Amino acid sequence: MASYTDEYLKFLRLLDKHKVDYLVIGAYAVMIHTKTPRATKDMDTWIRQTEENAVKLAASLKEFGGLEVSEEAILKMGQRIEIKSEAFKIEIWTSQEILGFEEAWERKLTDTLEDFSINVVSKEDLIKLKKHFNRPQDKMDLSLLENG
Amino acid sequence: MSMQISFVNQDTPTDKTEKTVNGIFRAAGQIMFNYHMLVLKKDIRTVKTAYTVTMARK
Repeated sequence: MASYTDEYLKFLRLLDKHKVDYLVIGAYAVMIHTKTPRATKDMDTWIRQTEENAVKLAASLKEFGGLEVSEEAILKMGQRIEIKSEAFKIEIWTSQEILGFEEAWERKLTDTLEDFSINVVSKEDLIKLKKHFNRPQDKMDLSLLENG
Repeated sequence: MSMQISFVNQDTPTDKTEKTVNGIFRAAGQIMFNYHMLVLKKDIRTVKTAYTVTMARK
């Protein structure tokens, strides 16, 4: 039986396969930049808001779990798309209040997992996002990111 | 594995607390899995790794 962690890998692999422009943000990005184990309940990603990218994401979601989503729904700004089952949750952010996707994309880190590539928000931009949200967990992450 | 998709306002906060013992153990396992996968570039299921979950009183 596939585990929840396999689902995260499957999702990222599909984004890579369909050439979706996305960035891993949140706890997974913190772990990659700080090399420190970190608890999280979900995996956060941030996608480029273009029609072409929405088509690619819709194809990825269909292959991922048979999820039927229109491009129009994906292109709505200021929302978070949540995909969840009993055991896992993936969040797809469509915009960030304090940072534009294009500038974050320019600074991204490309890493590899198993046999595919992943795009990760830069440490500099992750710090900006963490400072913006400023929740208790973000403050702990900032301590790791700024001192690591 | 059945999945649901929903669209929520970006300002809606995410629940970051684990509500059940199962959830806590699952999260602990995920920490180790993620650390191995993202940092050590290994699948924890293919290496012999033991970990302990210590639960503190509130």
